[in-house]
Amino acid sequence: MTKIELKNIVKEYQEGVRAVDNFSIKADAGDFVVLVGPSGCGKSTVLRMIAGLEDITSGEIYFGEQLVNNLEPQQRNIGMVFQNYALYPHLSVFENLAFPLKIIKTNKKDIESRVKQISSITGLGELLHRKPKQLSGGQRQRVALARALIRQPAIFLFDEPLSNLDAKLRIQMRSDILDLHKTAGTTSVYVTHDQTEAMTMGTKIAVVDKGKLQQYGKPDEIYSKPQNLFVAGFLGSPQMNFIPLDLAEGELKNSFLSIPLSDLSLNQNAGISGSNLTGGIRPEHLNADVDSGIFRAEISRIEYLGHEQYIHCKINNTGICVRDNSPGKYTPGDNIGINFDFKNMHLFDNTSLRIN
Amino acid sequence: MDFKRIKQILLHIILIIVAVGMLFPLFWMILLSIKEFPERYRTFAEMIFSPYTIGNYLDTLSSDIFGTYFLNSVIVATLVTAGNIVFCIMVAYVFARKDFPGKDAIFVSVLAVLIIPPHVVMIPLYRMMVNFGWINSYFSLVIPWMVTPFAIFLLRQFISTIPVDIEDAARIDGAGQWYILFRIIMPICKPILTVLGIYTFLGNWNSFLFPYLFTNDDFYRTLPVGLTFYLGKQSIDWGHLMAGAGISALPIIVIFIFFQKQIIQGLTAGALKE
Repeated sequence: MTKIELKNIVKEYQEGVRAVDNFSIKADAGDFVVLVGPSGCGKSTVLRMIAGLEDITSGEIYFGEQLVNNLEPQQRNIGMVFQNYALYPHLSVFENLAFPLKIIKTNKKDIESRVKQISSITGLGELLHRKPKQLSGGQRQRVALARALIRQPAIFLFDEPLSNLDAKLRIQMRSDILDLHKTAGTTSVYVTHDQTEAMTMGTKIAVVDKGKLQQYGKPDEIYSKPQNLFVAGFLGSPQMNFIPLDLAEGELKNSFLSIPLSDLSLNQNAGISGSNLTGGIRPEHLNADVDSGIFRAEISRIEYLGHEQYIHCKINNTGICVRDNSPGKYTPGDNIGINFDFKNMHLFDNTSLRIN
Repeated sequence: MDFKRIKQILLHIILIIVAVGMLFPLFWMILLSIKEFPERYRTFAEMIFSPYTIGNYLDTLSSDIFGTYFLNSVIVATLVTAGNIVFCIMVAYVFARKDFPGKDAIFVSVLAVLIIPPHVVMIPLYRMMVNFGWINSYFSLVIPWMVTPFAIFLLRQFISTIPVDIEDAARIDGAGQWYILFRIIMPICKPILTVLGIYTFLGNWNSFLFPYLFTNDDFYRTLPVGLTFYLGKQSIDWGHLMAGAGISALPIIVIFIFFQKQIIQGLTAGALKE
């Protein structure tokens, strides 16, 4: 088990474009770190730099105590799973799995027993003689996984491994990967743009945007205390409601709300000042009511999900989404009251950083 | 009969006429090759109903010099084909995958060579071979043709379509650059290499002009060049010439029969890769 540390990693392309900017995270041994962010945010570049497939412009990467900046990928003792599986198309499943062992000149008997062992763990026993193109997407990804496992690497890297699979298979593979992680305990870094994958799989999540680390921590920390507007808006579905607010006379105000500062769980009132603040509140922290409410809004659309529904309202050009458990009670066009506990509100300043 | 059917019948008639036109030389070659002194017949019918013989073939096969021509053709075509496969895949790989200053300019200049008709370089190349002392040597028949811009272009286009992730995976699995090129990329390129191999082999098997220029010793002549020497100064020995031509066409016919699919694929090359 190896810990990973990235210190001020920078990736700059020739044209002066910074794909990754001052990126630092630390993963303890056995961690399952998920890098999540929108496409093109630099998360895959970070992963490829950890793998050694991409040069680092500046910064340091440590595996355990060892600086690996100048090590070739094959010297880093890693296993990697790619989005498009990256299987060797001309080799059978058996040969694909045996490939990494063959290169390090493992003897035939050991190769056979290792392949057998790994293929039974990953449920590939029946498919060993097939070529990759004769396999389904899920089976291919299983082969890719098995191939990464077979050398028992110190670190596991996943580059959006599930994004080519259909929804049902994705859930299945998600738990398979977690089971494997639990048994092997290998430190893993997993890249995805899917927040559900991030939340369900990661022991730690790093939210990345525009090449910069936005926040790093446990899933619940990130969900309950997003450090900036990007993180707040990125994690959670439907996303957090953002309400513009201004500070005046000890109250946070806008045209339909006024919240006494004393009602917010604030550490330091002194830090808040001026206008253009943003209040954030998640749909599940809002309640719809027929009669009373802190403010009232008109329903524009209802998303019915069976066990619950999301009510989308509009008030003074601000869209508000409310989670509701009583389907059928409201119809679009109704005017409803909306309530919430001020303590559940996240407050961001005009530079988008968290205040409370 | 509807219009569609008439159109189809017309089309077939045209195709049959074209096919007969194409096959007639082949038929004529075979017919002449199995006649003793074919030049003495005055009418077609006379020729058809006269006795047949395989004597011309036996004579040709048993003549030492024909064997030398045949062997030379095999050696030259095989070496050139192997050279194109091995060397061009290296060049193509670099153009497809590596970055270095001036890469685009060099690639364009390689492509530009495609535009130049080979006959334009006939004299400079001849001078070069003379200076190297390669006239009457396998070197001049093989080395200038071992790396061709067409093969580089074809392979580069194909390699560009192979996902880079496969190479990255191999790198992580511990494979070095040569291993990746010859054990991963080359097997994946098999369909296009087959096409390239067939085309190169056929092209060289039939190559006449340069082997004719670069050799004047029977020992180094290839089949197409050697056959022209059946055309004597006063008379032409049609029977033996056609038997020789028949034997030299045999490998081509065999290749066409066995590799039809790949040859057709080659016509659409670059667009393939599933």
